[in-house]
Amino acid sequence: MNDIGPALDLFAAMGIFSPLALALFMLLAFVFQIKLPEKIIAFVVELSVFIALAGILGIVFLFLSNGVKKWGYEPFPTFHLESFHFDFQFYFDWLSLSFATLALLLCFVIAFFSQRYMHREPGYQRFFVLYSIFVSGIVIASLSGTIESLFVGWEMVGLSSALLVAFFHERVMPTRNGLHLWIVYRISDAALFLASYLLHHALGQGFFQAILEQGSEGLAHEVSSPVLIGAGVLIFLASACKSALFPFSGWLPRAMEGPTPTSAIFYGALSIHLGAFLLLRLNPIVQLSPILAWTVVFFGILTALVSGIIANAQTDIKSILAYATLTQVGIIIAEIGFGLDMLPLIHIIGHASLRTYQFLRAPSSFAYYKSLEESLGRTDLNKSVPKGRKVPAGPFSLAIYSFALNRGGMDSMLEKFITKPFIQMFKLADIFEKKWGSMLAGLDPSTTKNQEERS
Amino acid sequence: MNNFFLEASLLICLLGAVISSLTKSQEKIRFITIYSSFISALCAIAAYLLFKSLHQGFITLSEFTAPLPALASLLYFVVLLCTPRTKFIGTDKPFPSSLLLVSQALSLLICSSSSNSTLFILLALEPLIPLIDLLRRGERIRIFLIHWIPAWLIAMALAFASHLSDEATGILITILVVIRMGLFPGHAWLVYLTEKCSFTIALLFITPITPTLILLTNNQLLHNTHASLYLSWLAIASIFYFAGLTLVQRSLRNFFTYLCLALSAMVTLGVCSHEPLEITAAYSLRNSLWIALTGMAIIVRALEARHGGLSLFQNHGFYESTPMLGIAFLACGLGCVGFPGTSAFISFEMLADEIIPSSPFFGIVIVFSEALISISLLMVYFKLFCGRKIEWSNIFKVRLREMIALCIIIFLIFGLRFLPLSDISTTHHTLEKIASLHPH
Repeated sequence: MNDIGPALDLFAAMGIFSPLALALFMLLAFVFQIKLPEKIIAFVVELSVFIALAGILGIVFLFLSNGVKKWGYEPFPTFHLESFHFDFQFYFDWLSLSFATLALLLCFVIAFFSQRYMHREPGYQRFFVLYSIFVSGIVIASLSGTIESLFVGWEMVGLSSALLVAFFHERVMPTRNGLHLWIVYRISDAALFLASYLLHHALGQGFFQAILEQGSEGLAHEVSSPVLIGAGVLIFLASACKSALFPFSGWLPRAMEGPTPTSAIFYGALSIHLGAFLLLRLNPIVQLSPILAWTVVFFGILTALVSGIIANAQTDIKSILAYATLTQVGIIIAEIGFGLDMLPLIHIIGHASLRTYQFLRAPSSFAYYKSLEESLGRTDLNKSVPKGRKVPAGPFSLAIYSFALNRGGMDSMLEKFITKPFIQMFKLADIFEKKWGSMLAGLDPSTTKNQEERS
Repeated sequence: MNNFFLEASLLICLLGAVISSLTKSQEKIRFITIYSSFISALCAIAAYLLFKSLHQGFITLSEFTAPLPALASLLYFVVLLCTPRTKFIGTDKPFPSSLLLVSQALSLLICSSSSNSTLFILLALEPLIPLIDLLRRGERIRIFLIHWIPAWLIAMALAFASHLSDEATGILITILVVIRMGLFPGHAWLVYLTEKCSFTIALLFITPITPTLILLTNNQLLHNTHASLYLSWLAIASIFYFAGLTLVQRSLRNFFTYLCLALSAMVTLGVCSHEPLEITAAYSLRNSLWIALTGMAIIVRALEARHGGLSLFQNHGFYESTPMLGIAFLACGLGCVGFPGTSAFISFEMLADEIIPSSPFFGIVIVFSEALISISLLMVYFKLFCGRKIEWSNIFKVRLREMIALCIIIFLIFGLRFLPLSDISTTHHTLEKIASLHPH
């Protein structure tokens, strides 16, 4: 191990710091309003992702050739102040290396695709700034060795995703959808933050290595189970929001407002699987309680069923793909709930690769279909267009169809029972504030209202 | 050699205020104001850099207070630097240049003050600046006086009355802090102030979260008299209430005010604690928020200077014409919610981490409120910078001065913790040292 130590350090630094350097470079250029040529941007992005990928593959090679199975990398000293410590550590094992390799490989492919897809787009540089933040975030999250470093990556992924959904910001809908995504992600962040606190409280630190080495049985013996189960519930909530499980699935079709490459990389391949990755990483905690494990299975299967039904009633290709993705993610979550580890990982890798391909082909699929038909000699394509399915007649079928068309009513349900009462409460408080302020200031409340309306 | 830079910094501000009040040409007033503030900032920074190598002057700085005058004067300079020329020249309501310089001098004194009674006197003097501005602008001052007449009396009593019992002192400090900090229910005057006062004066009054220093110096007393408990409950109610109000605001200024109030309450909650780590976190968070909120206010002012009062009913689409303001708004917003990489990140993590064991309910409210604030920040960002493209003329483009000011703010948001004496460990050690020098 000592012989390969320096090489491992070098490769790890390549894998982690190359995307970070890219994000910093792109951000600085963006802040100082330096307009970089498209070719330079594409070259820098591809080079950086390639270096990171080479670094990760280098570690994989060293692991395989030397029989190493796990390794921790700590680039920065731990921030330590009395009882508070913030550990920014990375952990390399079969799970983190597989997910990071997948992430970087797909990011590399998407970077190649995007340089042409986004060609002459006014927000070309902005796209790659956000893209580089996403790449850094996903690398940090997948290689994180502590819950703190995972949290950093998790937040970076969340912010870049929300801003990329709202990429075409001259239209209102993408910004609304970006905000919707951000709201769900912030719930996820809050849950992860509280879970991180509980883990620290229960274990005295947030190292994944310690959790994995102890396993469910070791954890059950050593620490207070209710606290760890509480952490497990919060981790599941964070994963459910990130992976769009039922009832948080509403953001997924909305997220398709972003450019196609981001739909492919985020919602077809990586972001959507990040929740599953977190559950897989902290599976010993989930498996501590059979009730929690079965809850994970239940929500996984429910998500798969509901999204399978909804996918059948969608009318645009991106929404169909989004719900089809969700069906598979639901199954992956259920597999994790069953306590499996290798199968969900293989499922994630295969599924992410397939969906990336499908999402990237989605905009050109009709042109491809047309050229295929024409090459077969069918020139009048209207004749070969399917007539469309009949609307089901029975009351049960109609109910299912209506449920699918309304996308399970998840958004309206959350809005009716949570968002609306909450906002209404604060609107009333705001009215009270205005009246109270006007009364104290000796102003006529109607004058204040009129001024506001004019503004 | 003695370190007289802080005294020089103070004198330059006062001298600039006198000269600018005697000058008639508005162009000259602008020149005098900006350069006085700049030289004063340079002197304060020199005082900070030479703090350890030179002997103290008349105003003694401690390790704890050393970075504050430099930060205060730098932020004053940044705010003045990017004040649009049209604010100084050619308006019916002349820009309060001399008031701002006096305010800068007062701020320098507050930041370097370590005596309790001096702090109370300065805290009582500070609101006179916005009051004078309100009078100058012909606005009503009833709401201001309703809150501040009792507050002034309390501040004077705390500064001069020597026979007050600990319980009475604790209650009086609580009332004073509720009013000055704008905790619920003593906040209505601050909302009025940001609406009616010159926004530059208002932003420089609200963003420093000054009463933190009072709470720090009286921490033990507040703890002994249970006043800190009342303050904590008021602070937690304020955090949630104001964070929720940021979601439903229809005017940009009101949004900014409630954002400031929510974050100030968060700092208050931390400083009220008796745990050294929590106090350290809250104090570091206060410094980070001071910068981020000042940056946010500069952007609000820059947008209002171009467009007038902004409603949050519709999308404005400012990004295409002023992308720099959009980027800076996001950076300041992230600085306010302690996003990874910003200087508030560790402070916020530490604060929540330390609060949860003593009160899980408080911890959950803080984390939830922080999520609400970050949601409202992105919502406002989308409202301001996204939407239909507006073809604006070049006069609306971001000026070089604004660009420099925003770059300084962004640098401080992301790099403050790298500056010596500003990082959390140093703050913690200094607080510990102070505690050991003044055993309770």
